[in-house]
Amino acid sequence: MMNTSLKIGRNICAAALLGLTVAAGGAAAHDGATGVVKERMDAMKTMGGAMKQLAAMMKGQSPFDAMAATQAGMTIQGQAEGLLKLFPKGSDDMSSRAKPEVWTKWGEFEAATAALNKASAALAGADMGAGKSDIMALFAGVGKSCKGCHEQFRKPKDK
Amino acid sequence: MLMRFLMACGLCLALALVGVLGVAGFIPSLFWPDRGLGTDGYVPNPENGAYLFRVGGCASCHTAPGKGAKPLAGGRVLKTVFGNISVPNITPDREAGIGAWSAEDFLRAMRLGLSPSGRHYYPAFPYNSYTNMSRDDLLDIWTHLKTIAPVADKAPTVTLDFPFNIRAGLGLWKLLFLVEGEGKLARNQDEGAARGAYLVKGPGHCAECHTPRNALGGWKYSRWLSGSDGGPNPVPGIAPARGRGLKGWNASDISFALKTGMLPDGDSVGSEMATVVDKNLSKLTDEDAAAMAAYLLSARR
Repeated sequence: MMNTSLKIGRNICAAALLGLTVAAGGAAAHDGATGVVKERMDAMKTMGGAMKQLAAMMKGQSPFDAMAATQAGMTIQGQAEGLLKLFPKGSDDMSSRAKPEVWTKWGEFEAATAALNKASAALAGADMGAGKSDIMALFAGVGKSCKGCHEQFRKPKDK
Repeated sequence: MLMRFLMACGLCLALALVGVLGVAGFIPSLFWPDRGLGTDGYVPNPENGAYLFRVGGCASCHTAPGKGAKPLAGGRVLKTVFGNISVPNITPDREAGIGAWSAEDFLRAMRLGLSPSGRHYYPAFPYNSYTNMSRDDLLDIWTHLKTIAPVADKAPTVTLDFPFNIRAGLGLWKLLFLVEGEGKLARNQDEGAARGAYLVKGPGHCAECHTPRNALGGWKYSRWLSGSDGGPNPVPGIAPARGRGLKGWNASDISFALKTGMLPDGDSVGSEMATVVDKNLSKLTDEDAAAMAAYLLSARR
């Protein structure tokens, strides 16, 4: 009897400890990234920054400027080109939100990054005289490729 | 003496509960009579039906995943905390789909969660949301559904584990949690927000994922649209007026995110929401997206 309850107690302690460790790991997610994981997070941040600038323009929160829009497209394409290299096999550590599917469905992941490359190239190559609705359509194309990839290959944010 | 009296009371109460459960489960018509389900005076608006069908996302659930799946022929399996639930064929095929249904059958399904033969549907079919829709909007969707190509493939059925395989239990669930019918929505909302409330609570069925549920699977109304950890993935809150999610977003940030999936910080939505935007919300009119934003920003439930 004594023995069993001791054992149960020990198991509870172990479980609690494990819980703490997991919680601590979760809290550190994204902040403690190093190496190639950090590099790809920076690449995502750069692209996010360009998308933020474009979105503000499309929402009318900043003045529309076709030149600036194509430059934002170039920024995104510049990152999109090198994106695959930033996902070497085995780089799915605790700090990363990349799902294992990146590597188990590599062909599809490759196609998803190619879609981003193509959509951002179209935006980067837009005519200087393009109107807001033209740019909006190209922007939506880039957004669609962001979403498409995040849908399948990114873990949801921790609460 | 007192003890015996209390015990007798308890027994009576238990028996009454079992009785209610039984009656609600086996004779649904007693609890959910056909009120206001007729089609009198209905003037079809097929365009409205096609639009609501699209933004409501019927096809997202009723079409199996993967390329080459036949639209609306069912076959998807929904993983819930209560077990796996299979999604049926809703094409107008008379055998495999719902081609043999009447308009009233459709209204009963959408409003009350009842099949034409009076069986309870699992609330994975979001009738708790659709019950908020107007009769004419529902009939417009019905009109649209009838124009879809029939598919004769019967969707496979998955059975839940005990006790959830006993559909009679759903009668009690509905007595507890189904708040039926239109018109209780949008109280004290201005016109734009009222339309938004209708879209969010009705066809959009946003609360199905964005409102947390209690142990029995009913919504926690006190935490309306506050986000949820209960499902397979955490779902963010979309109730900024109550400090639950969308912090610092303005109306155009919200309507823009609904239509494009792009968040104000330059990130995009992911997971299930990416499909919802892509297939459904991106088809919203600008006015409707703005109305949903107005409702989500208002403090009213």
